Amino acid sequence: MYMAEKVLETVDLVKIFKDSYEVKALDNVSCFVEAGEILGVVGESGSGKSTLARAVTRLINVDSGSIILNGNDITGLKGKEMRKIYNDIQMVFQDAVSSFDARLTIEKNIDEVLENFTSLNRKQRKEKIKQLLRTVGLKEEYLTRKPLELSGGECQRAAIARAIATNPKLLICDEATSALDVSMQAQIVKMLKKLAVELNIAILFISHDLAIVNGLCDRVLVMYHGKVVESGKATEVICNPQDDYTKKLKASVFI
Amino acid sequence: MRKRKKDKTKQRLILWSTLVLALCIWAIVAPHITPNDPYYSNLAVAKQGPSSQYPLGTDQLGRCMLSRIMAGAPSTIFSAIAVVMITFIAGSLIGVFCGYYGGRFDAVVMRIVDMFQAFPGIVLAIAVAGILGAGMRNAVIALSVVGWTQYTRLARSRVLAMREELFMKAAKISGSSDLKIIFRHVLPNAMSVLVVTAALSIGGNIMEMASLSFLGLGAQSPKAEWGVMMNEGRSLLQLYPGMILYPGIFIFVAVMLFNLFGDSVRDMLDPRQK
Repeated sequence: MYMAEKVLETVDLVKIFKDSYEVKALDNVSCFVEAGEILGVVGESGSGKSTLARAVTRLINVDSGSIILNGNDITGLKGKEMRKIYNDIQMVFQDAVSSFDARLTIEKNIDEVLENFTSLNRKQRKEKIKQLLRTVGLKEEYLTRKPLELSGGECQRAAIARAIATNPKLLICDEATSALDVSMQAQIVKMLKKLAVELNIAILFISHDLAIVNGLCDRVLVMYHGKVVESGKATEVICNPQDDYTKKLKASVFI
Repeated sequence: MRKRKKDKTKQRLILWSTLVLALCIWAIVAPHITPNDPYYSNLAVAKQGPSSQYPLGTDQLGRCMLSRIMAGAPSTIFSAIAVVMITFIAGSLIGVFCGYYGGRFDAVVMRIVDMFQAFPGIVLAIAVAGILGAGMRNAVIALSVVGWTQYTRLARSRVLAMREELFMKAAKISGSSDLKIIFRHVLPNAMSVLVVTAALSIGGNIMEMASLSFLGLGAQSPKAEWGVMMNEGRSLLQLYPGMILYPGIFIFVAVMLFNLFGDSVRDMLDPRQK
C-alpha cells in the first residue's frame, strides 16, 4: 500500500492561557496530516481549534509537546530559522479582508511572500501573481485593487492565492469558509479540494461546520475543551460517532 | 454631497499649503532682499515711526525694523520645523519599537516618557536650554528633548492596537522579519495620525522657539530673531509699541498659517478626529 509522508505531526501539544483563571486551550493534542490529505478539525468555539492552528504556525508558543514539519522539529525555532518554515506552512484566516494590509494593493500584499521566499525579480513576480490569481479564479485586474474593494469571497480567493504562492506543503485554513455565503463556500471548498490533489498540499481545515467537513475532508479530528475526543475517517466519525461529545455536536448541527 | 465635502477639504489643504509654502519661500528669500542692512545701527534715526526709508520704522539703535524682521524669518521658522522633524522621526521610531516589541525596553522607555510629560513642556525646555546654555542650536535641542514624547506615546498606542490585527499575523506568515513588518506595515499604517500631529505642532513650536529667544535662552541679541526683537522692544512698549508689535504680528501670522495648515492636513488624513 502506498504510504504518504506525514507533512505535519504534533505530539502532545499543551498550551495553557493564564489570565484571571487558567484555560487549557490545548491538552495533549497529537495529530498528523499527510501530503495531499485534508484533515478537518471540528469543535465548538473555545475548543482549541484556532489555538492549534496558531501553535502549528508558531504564532503562539506552546508550553510543551512538539511540532514536527517534514520530519524536522520546529517547536523551538526562533528568528530567521522560524521564518523559513513559512515557505512550507501557510495559513488562510477567517476574516480574509483584514488579513490584507488595507493600504496596499492585492499585488503588493501577495508580493510580500514571493519577495521573501523566491529569487524572482519584480517582473517575474508580477507574472507569478497573475498566474496565482488565475488559479484561484480571479481576474488580472484585481492586481491593482485594494482589499476593501473586493467582496469577502474574492478576498478569500486572494488570500488562498497568497497562501499557495510558495507551493507550501501544508495549508492551514482557520474557519476559512465560515464568513462566506453558502454558494461561495461551495466554490472555495471545491477549489481547496482541487489544490490538495493538484499541488499535493496537506490541508488542515478548521471549521465548526460539520457538513462542509464531511464533504471536504479525508479525516476528522473532533476537539472539545482542548482535547482530541475522537478522530478517524470523516464519513465514519460524522456518520457514526462514538464519543458522546461528537454525538451531541452532530445532533446540534443535523437537527 | 460627500464628494463635495471632500473636494472642499482638498481645496482648503491646497490653499493653506500654498500659503505655508509661500511663507517658507519668503523666509528663505527675505534675508537677501532686505531694504536696509539689518545690523547697521544709526542712532541718529533711532526709534522712528514708519517712513519710506524704513517701512516699519527703526528700533532703539536705529536699525531698520522690517529688515530685521526679514532677516530673522528663517531662524525662527526653520528651527521650529527642524524641531518638528527631529521629534517626529525620533519619537515615532522609538514609539513604534516600544509598541512592537513591548517587554522591558518598552517599560523603561515609557517611564522615561512619563517623567518628561510630568513637567509642563516649556518649563522643561527652559531648564534644558538653561543647562545647555543660550544659543539657537541649544534651543532646538531643548525643544526636541521635550517634544519627542508625544510622538512616542501616539506611535506606541497605534502599534499596540495594530499588533493584534490579522494582517500583521499574515505578514509574519508571509515570512517577513520584524524590521520589514515595521517598515512595510506598521509605520505606514501609523503614519497618518503622526503626520497630523506633526503638522499641528509646527505652529506651537514657532511660538516656543520665539519664547525661548524672548527669554534670552535661544538666539542672542544682536541677532535678528523675532523673539529677541520682541524682548528688545519690551522696555519701550508704551512709547514705541511698534518695536514689539511688528515682530509679534509676524509670529502671529506664521503660527496661524501653520496651524490652519495643520488643521487642513488633519481634515484630509483623519476626518474622524474633528
